[in-house]
Amino acid sequence: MEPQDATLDTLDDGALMVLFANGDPMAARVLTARLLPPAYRHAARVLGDKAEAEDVAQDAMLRLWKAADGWKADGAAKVSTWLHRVVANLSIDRLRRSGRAVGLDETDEPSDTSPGAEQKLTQSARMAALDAALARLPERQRQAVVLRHIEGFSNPEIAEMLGIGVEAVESLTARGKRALSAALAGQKEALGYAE
Amino acid sequence: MQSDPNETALDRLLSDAQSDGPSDDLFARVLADADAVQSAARPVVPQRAPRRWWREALDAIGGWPTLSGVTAAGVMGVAIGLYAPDVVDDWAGGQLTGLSGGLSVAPDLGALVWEDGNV
Repeated sequence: MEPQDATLDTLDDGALMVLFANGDPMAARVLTARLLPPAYRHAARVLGDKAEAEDVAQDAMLRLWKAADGWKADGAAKVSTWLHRVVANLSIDRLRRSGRAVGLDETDEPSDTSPGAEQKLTQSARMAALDAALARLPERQRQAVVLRHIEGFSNPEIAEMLGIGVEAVESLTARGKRALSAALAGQKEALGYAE
Repeated sequence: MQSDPNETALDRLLSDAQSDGPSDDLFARVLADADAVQSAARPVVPQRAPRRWWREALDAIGGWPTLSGVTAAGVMGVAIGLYAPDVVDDWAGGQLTGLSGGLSVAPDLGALVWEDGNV
């Protein structure tokens, strides 16, 4: 008998990869629900572009599906670490090719007039401001700040994702957060955080 | 001690960023990719043509060589039954009557019955 959805939820990502490779379609659903949102956020914050972030997240997930066949469920490689390393590399490739940065003035004009639209706009403006501030940081610093302060990964995990040492991660996140704070100085009211 | 207002605003901004998520369309595209990869990886099982009952029976008795032998024996049996014994004997080169000592193929039991008055 195939395990039910609730049973799959209790399995770790490595076990789900093996189930996926064995043809279980529910494993893909559970893995997507777990891994796609952080992968997308990672790409979105680093690239500052929603459409590009979606492309990168989809590409990274496709590579994950293709890697499932040879995946070892012995915990040697953590699925999320592997996936974010792919997202980091794909994002850096795109940044280097385009060489552009996103500013607050590039935020889409609002067309939604439904209730809650103002709140959505505020959220959209906040993310645009964050992306613009992140865009001023060097690539590695940007990746480290996103992975540490938005996705909540540990420093050793980030070190493995970015292929650098743990001490380098500590330094990157500390300097990155200071730089972000300075970049956003004076925007507290504009971002709607005024008490 | 008073916290840095810029730092607090940044923390709230980073916290808000955690609720940002992909669109339903992206979820659908990713699941479609997963389905395509799984379908491509599924082994293709060659379809065997359904075997007919007579084919199974033929294989059970040894195939066409056996069937031809059985057929030849059957034809011979029918011929022996249909034609007069001398014709069949001609086909066999006159050996049937020669082996049995004439047209009578059974031994002469009358001699056994009356021998010494006992059967």
